[in-house]
Amino acid sequence: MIRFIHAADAHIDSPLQGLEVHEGAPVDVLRGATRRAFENLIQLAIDENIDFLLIAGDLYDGDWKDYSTGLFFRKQLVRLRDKGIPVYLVAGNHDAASVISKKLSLPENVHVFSTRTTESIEVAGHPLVIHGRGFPNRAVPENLVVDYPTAVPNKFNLGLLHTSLTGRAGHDTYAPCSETDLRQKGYGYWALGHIHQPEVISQDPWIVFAGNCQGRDARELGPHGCRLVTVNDSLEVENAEWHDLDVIRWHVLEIDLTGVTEESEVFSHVTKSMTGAVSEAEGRLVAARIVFTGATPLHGSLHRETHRWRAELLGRAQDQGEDAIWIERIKVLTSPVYNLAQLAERDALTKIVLETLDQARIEPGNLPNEIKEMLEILLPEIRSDVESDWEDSRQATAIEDVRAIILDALGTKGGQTR
Amino acid sequence: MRFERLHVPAFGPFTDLDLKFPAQGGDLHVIYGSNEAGKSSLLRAFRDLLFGIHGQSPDNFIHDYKKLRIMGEIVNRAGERLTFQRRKGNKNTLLDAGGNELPDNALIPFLGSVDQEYFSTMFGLGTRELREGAEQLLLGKGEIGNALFSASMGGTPVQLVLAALIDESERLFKGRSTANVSIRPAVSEYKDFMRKSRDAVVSPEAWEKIEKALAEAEEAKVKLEGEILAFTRDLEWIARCEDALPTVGRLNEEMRKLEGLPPMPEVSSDFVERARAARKAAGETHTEVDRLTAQIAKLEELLAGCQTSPALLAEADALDRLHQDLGVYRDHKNSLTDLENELAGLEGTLRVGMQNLELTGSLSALETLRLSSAVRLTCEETAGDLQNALKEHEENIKKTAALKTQIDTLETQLQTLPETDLTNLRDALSVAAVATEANRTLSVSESEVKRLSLEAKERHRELIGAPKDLDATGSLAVPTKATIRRIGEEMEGIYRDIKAEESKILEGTKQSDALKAELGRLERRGELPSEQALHDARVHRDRGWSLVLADWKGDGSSEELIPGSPLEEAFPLTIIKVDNIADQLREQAEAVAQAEEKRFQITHVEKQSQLAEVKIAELLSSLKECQTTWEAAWQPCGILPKAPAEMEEWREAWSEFKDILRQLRAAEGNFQQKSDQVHEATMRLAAVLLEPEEKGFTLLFDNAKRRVQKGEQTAGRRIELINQCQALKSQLETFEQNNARFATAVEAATKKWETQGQRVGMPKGISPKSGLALLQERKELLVKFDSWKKSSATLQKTKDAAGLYEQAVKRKASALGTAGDTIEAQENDLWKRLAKARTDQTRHDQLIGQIEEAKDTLGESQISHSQAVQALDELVRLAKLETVDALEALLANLELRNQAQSRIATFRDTLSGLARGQSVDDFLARIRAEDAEALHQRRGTLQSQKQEKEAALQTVRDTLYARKGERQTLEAAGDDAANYRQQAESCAARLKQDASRFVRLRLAAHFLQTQIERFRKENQGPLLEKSGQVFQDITRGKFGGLGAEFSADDTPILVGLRRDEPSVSIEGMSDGTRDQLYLALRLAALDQYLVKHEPMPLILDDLLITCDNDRAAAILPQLATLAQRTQIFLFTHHDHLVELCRNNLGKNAFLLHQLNTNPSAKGN
Repeated sequence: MIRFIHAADAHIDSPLQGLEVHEGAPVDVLRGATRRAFENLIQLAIDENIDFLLIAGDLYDGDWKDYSTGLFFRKQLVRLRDKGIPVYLVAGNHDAASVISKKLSLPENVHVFSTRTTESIEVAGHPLVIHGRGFPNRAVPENLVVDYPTAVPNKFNLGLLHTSLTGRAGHDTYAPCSETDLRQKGYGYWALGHIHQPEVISQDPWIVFAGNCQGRDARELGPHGCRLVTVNDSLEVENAEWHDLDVIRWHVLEIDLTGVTEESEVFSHVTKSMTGAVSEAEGRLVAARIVFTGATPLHGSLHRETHRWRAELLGRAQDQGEDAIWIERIKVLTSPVYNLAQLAERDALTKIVLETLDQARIEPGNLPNEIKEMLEILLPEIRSDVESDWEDSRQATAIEDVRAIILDALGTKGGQTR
Repeated sequence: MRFERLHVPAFGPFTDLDLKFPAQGGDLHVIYGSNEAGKSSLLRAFRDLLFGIHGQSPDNFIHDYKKLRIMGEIVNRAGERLTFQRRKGNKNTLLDAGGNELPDNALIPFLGSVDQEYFSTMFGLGTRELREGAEQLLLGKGEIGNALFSASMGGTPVQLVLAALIDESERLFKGRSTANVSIRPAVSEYKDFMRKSRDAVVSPEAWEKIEKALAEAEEAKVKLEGEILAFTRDLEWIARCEDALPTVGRLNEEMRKLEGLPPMPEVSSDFVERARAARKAAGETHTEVDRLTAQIAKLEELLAGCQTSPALLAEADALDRLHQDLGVYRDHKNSLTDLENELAGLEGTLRVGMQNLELTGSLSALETLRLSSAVRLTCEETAGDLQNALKEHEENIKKTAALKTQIDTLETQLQTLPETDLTNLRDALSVAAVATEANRTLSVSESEVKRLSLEAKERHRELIGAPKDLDATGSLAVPTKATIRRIGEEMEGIYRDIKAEESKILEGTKQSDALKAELGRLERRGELPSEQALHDARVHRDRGWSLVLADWKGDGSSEELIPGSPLEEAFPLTIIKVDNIADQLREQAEAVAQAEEKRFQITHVEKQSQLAEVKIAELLSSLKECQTTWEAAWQPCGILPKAPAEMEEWREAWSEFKDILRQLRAAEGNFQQKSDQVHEATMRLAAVLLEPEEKGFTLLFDNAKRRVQKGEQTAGRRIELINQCQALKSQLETFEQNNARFATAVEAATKKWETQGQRVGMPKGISPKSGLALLQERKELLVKFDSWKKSSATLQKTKDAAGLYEQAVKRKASALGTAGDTIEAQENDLWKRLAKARTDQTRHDQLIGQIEEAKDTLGESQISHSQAVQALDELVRLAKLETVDALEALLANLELRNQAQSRIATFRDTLSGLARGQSVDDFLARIRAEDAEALHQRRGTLQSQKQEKEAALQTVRDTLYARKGERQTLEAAGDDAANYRQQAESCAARLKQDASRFVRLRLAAHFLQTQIERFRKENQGPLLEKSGQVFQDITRGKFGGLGAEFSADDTPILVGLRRDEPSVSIEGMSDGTRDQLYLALRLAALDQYLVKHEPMPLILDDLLITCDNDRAAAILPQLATLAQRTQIFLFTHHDHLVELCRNNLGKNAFLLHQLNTNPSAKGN
């Protein structure tokens, strides 16, 4: 019986995105989350006394130059060396660009696959061959699988590869190949990296994306970890058991406010949802994006009094316990309960406002000067994110926000009545 | 929508309240209720009926939430009617008259899109709202867009709305400011974190360098530490030698002493201690026996001299009690004197009282004065009745006199008020009233003329090519729209055709080029033979054959079939060529056919292009004709026209201009007509008032009204005085009648009092006041008499107790033979003797006990002494001595031997510690082998060598420490880099949120500003005119209306217009006028609302309480006018407002509903 762990995309020391620091925020958990997750991986390998560890690329962020990150990585591998556990890894697109991977000398229990050609390594003491090849450059547009040899007979064949397959949403296409390409090689297990969301593409043969060890933003939801694979004496995969490694769990809490009229009811829904997420996270910090949907009379207030709502919801988050939940963002996708057409008929002014808003478009060249001035001081990476509000696909949402702010401000006399 | 009826079964203070609101003429309902009558609850009832009872409604103080119920009947403009009721709850709260559930949308035909918030804002107006609205006008400096916008939104303060949006946005970003904003500092913070992160990043080279330095220092350290260790060991041995040498010397000495002692018997190690202890014990026990024997003798002597008193001790209990009662006895003796003094005082007082009441004999005669409670109360009551009757009679006489004085004053005032005739003045006023409207709108008309004139000129400027004169421009014979459009379409058709033909040519060229390219490609594959080529080749071959035949026949010519080739070579070539072409034609039939096809198509396309060019020439000619017709059509206007599309716009602008010009001329006529009307009215007013007409219409009209008002006020005052006079006279009559009645009552009460006085023994003819005082005096005397009786009894009881105590003391004194002058002295002596007897007895008992104890101890000591002597004898035997006296010398030698052996053991212990694990004998041998003299020098050399090495080691350690510090710094920096990067991300997250929020807020503010301006442009005219009319009316013509002017910063602002006087800005108006202006704007906005919407009831809550009567009286007719179009509820708790309504609107113009919480109370 052979037991190994398949992990990928550790991205050690890369920051978690979108989490705004606020009073009482558990910042200590946030800092070093990727390190803690990687430590969990090493500890699991030791606890389970596995035969070897596979890492399918992207150990670091490409533009990250800090050598102590590499030393941390080395120190963890030394722990495995001391337990006699070998490590096999391929370079991913990020590692190819990283200065750390070029300089760092690794302990003798680690084998890094060549980036020039496909290598096949027999694991001592086991009837098993690992075929792998790393990324020589940041961008690899060609299909690397073509050069992988066909399966060695009477051995368990394992393919280690960093690839986007035929493409995945949110990820650049690297080393493209098809599922058929992989099947044709006749291997028993394909350990893939690059795609951060864990996914079992196939179980015959096993084609698996382990996902990254720690989710880093609200797009990387749910548990993140690795797979502990057991190959039986008939050289078949008996199981590929999932193990959580993450220390922060990303969640989207979608709260349907259809028909909800009282704020207390909103908080009750949110609390229930938070409690569920916290319980599911099993003691990890939950980084939650709260998304409100549905038609509700609170639509205006949610758009207008964003600070108040945020403060209230942070309070509810704190009620869940210390370091239990961190609100990443509150996204309001609700719709109003009023009928805009009827509302327009009520008075001439509202009619003018609503009709004109209906036809309004946010034109980048035609923005009020104050907005232009504000955009000028933003850094390009932040500015482009803000400007994405008036991309065609998001214009309607932005206009709806503006509409809600105006209607609510008029309705509450600019906050005089509430 | 209007309310027909409101029925409140249970809500607030109401139970079964029923109000009906029939529309009679106007639909104005005044709801009057004093404070606490439930006015606020009724206001809520109107609202809650329509929109639901609030979850935390305060109207459950009588009826439980479950029982709250409001019913109503409403009707809309279309005549639909609904009777329904509302209960409190979360859903299905709307019920029909029978209590069945109604769908929530059942009210939509009546309410439309009006929700609760809008209803309260737009159709609810109270003093507070009026005040706030006026303040907002001031705050906005009369900015017209905001003012109109706000009023049209039911008072929504739009400038506050804008300010709130901008305020919030400015908390995020405000130009160059970094204080109190979040975005700009966050950008700096983000940059700072990114920079720190970059700075903190550690390069691999830095790590390698530090690791190398650390390894080198570590190696040097290990080497030096080994050398120092060797030195340390040598030094340590020398130190041990030096430590051990003195001990070794002393050890040798002790061993020599031991060898010098005489032989001694072997005894146990504790023999010396035991022998000495036995000798000591024998001596001590002997001394103790002697001491005890002497003590017993002394105690027995003391006992013999000790005496006791058994007789006195037998009476001890009785003497204790007497001593305890001595305090009580002393108190009794003291209180006897106080009581006797008190009784003497009381008796004196009682004697004086008896004399005053003329009583004689013993004090018990006072008992005759005691009355029963019933008799005394009757007496007091009769006296009170007589006093009241006298007081009422006196007051009635005083009031009668005061009324007579008041009547005299009123009659004097009445004589000073003259009667006046107002007929002429009223006639003149009625003429002027007709001209009021003209005068009021005169300035608006003038503004309108100016505005239209400006606009007409503006539009005229836009009409390029038009005559300079406006009217001439207006009367131009411009071609009709149909003509323009017809010619335009014709020209457009031609252009379209030309374009189509040009397209054909272009398309043809493209096709031709494409075909030629394809042909070229076909030809490039190889030479493509054609049928013509085959034909030509065959002709050539046939010519060759004819030449061959001719040559064969002998008549050959000089013609060369192929130049340069003899015929016999050339002819076969022509045959081959023909065959080849034929073969090629067969083999490449397809390609040949395609090439042919292409060639044909190219020719066809080129022909089509030529045709198109011809067509274009024809079309250009038609276009020219059309242009001539076009210019001819415009010739009467004297204008050289541009393209028809442009001229159609020109004509559109010309039409609008013409329309404006027409409006201008009409406005001028209207202005003139009004001006004439006002002039005529002014003349009439001046004549009747006998004042100069130069004062102007408004002033004269106001004067006339004031004069009429004053006349009417005087007449009203006269009537009021006459009525008051009559009322007072009627009161006087009543008072005079009462006088006689009060006199009779006084007489009856006096008689009753006299009878009662005699019954209780009062002097005859005593007044009620003196009678009551006498009764009180008798009552107080009896109280004192009772007190005298009580004190006498106490005195006797005390005397008896003191006597008993004295007898008891005397008895004991006599029995025990005690002397003393007084009772207290005798008791004291008895007490002292008892104490002494008790002390003597105690001493006697103690001595007996001490003697017995000493005898017991003596017996024990004698036994101990005997045992000690035996033990000593045993030790002597063990030492094999003959007598006890020889024991001491043996003990001294034994002690010397023991001491020497003990020291030797101690020295060996010390050396064992220094031997560090070696046996002591080995250690001694090693030390004895060392040269003690050389040790000191050797130690000095080793120490200096070791110090050198230690100094070197310290330097290496410092280096190592410094390197480790550097490595830690690098490690920390590495952590910092990641931390800073993470903090930068957190900062970016906040920045993105704030920036997005800023964009939305600014867009909202920008958008709202734009739309307010648009609203102003579209609504300024009608709203200003209507609100101006209302404003003029409610200021009673003080203002002629409202107008728009431009402020210093070119913003259109609202001003009050006054005839022949400068206009007044919002800031220039008094608070009251601003209130009126705001009300005018709101009423005008409502008026405009009613044009397009279902009417909604207007609910006015104590709207007029801050207005003085004049202002209120001016506003009421406006409400009555508006009530012709929609239902109005005017809530008030001031009855003077009800009175004002009666006086200013007449009884039939409104319905009064009295409100009280009495269940049976009904409106109307």
